[in-house]
Amino acid sequence: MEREILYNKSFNIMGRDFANAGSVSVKIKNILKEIKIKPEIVYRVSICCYEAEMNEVMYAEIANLNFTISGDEAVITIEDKGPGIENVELAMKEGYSTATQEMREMGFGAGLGLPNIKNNSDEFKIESKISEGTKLYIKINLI
Amino acid sequence: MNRGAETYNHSICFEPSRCTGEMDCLKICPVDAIRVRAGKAKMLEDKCIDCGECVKICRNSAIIPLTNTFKDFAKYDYTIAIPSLALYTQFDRNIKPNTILSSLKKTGFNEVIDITRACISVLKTTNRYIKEYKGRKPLISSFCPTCIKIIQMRYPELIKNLIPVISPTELAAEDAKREASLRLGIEENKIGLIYITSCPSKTVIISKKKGKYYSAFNGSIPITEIYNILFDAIQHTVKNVDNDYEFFDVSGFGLNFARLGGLGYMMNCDNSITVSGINNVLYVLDEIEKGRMHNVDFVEMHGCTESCLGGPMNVENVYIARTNLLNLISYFGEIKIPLGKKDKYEKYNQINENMYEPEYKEDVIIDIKKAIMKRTERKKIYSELPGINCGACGSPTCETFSEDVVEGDAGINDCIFVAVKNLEEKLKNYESKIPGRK
Repeated sequence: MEREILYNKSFNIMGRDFANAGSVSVKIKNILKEIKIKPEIVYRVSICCYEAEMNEVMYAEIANLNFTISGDEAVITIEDKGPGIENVELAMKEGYSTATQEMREMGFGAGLGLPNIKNNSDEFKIESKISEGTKLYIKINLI
Repeated sequence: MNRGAETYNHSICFEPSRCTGEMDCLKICPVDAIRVRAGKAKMLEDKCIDCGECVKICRNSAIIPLTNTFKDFAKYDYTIAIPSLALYTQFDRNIKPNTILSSLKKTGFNEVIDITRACISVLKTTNRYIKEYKGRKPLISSFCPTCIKIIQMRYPELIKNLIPVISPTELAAEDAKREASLRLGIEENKIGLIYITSCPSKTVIISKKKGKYYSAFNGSIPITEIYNILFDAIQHTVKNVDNDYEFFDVSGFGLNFARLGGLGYMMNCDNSITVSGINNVLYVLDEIEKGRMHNVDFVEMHGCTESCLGGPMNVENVYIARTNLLNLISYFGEIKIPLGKKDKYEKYNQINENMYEPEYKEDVIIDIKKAIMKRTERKKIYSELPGINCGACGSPTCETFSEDVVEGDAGINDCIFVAVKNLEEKLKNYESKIPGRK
C-alpha cells in the first residue's frame, strides 16, 4: 500500500560550510517537535540528520537532503556530489574515519557518523560511486 | 505562604487577587508556560519547569512559591534544619556560618546541620564517576533541580548524561536522621527534616513522595520566610557571644560547592564548562543534543544566575551574596582537601542510577496526519499575525498565540491587529450597504 505523503521538504547543504553545519537537523527537529512526536524519536531522527549533514559538510561539494513524512514514517534521503566512499563496509565500522587532522581538531571525524546513523534508524541504505557521489536512505518509524 | 504543602506538581502558584496583569512574567518565562487571560496570569502546568524566574520578576508578589511554615513541623518530636549554603551569604560579611547556624537553631529547631562536609563527600563520588564513565559525553551535573526537570521534560535522551549522584543536602539529611534516631532512641518518622532553601524547585522534589527516588526531607522553609526571625536571633547571638555558641565544622573548601564553577575547581577538572541562567542552560542543552559538546567531560549547570546564590527565595542580592561567599572561602583559608581522604558519609550509597525518569505527557503519540494538519493551520494563522510578539493578546509570542488559537485557548480576535483589520473590513462592508454611499 502506498503511504500518503503528509509532509515534504528539501534542503541544500554546502560542503565546507562549517559555520552553518547542523542547521538542517535543527530545522527538522523543530518540525517534529511541533507535531509533538515522542522526544526519544525526535532525538533519533535529529542524530541521523546531524551525522549525515556533518558528513556532507566535511566531504561533499554540495548535497540535497529531502525530508518526508509519509504515514507514520519519516524518510530522509541525501544525495551528494562528492568524492564517494571508497570502501563502504569499512566506513560503516565504528572508529574508522578518513577525516583530516584539521577536521579532527574541530571535534569531528571520530568515525562514528555512519554507524551512528545505522544504530538510530529503522532502515538504512547506502550507495556510493567513486568520484560521483553518495546516496543515503534513512527511515525511522515515528510511532 | 502556606498552602497545606502536601504534594503538588509545581512549586509556584498564581494568586489571582494580587495579579494586576502586568505581563512581566509572560515575557520572562523561558519556556512560554504563562498566559494572561482576562487580565490574570495563569500557568500551563505541562510546560512549567519550576525555574522561578516569574517569582523573581513579579512586582505584585502574585506568584507565590509553595512551601511550608513552622506550624507544619509541630507534629514531629525532633526537628533538624539543614540550610542551603546560600544562607551563609545572606547576612553581613562579618557574620560567619557558626553564628548563623547557632542562631538558626535558636529560632526553634532541635538540631542544625552544616552540609559543607557532605558537599566534599559528594564531590569525591562525582569525581570518581566522571573518571570511570565510558558513555556518551558530556556528563551533566545533577545538583540543580530545575535543570534536571528541564532534561526530564524536554531532553529525555540526555537523562543518561546526568551524573546519578545524590545531592549533598540529601546525603546530610539521611545521615542526620539516622544519627539522631540512634542517639536519641526515637523512631525515624518522628524526626522532621527541614530544608532552608532559596530554591522553589527543590520544594517540589521534597513534596513528592512517589517514584523510584524521593527526598529524605519532610518539608522546606524559604530563606525569605525565616530571614526576619533569624536576623533577630543573629543579633542576639552576636551580643551574647559566650552563651550557647555552638561549634560547627564548616569546611571552607566545601563552600566552593555553592560558587559558580566551584564543582570543576574542587574536582580539578580542566575540561569542564559552567553554565548558569535558564536561557543559557537551554542553549547548552540544545548544543549537547546536537552532539556539539562531546569533547567536554563535564558540564556544571545551574538554572539561576550565579547558581543557588541567585535563587528566587534569597534576600540578599546575588552579587553581594557572591562577594560574601568569596570572602568566606578566603576567611576559612583555601585548603584543598585531597579527594582521596575518608569521611563519615562514605558508608552511604551515593549513586542511584534510577534517580531520574523521563517526565512528559504520555499522550504525545498521536495521529500524525492530524498533527501535521494542525501545524499547517498554525502556520496559516501565524502568517496573518504581525509577528512583533507584543504579548497584548496574553500569549507571549505570535507563535504561541497561533498555537493557542488552534487549541481553542484563544480567539483570533484577541490579537489587536487582527481585530482592527477585521473591524475595518466589516465597516467597509457595512458602509457599502448604506444607500447613497459608494
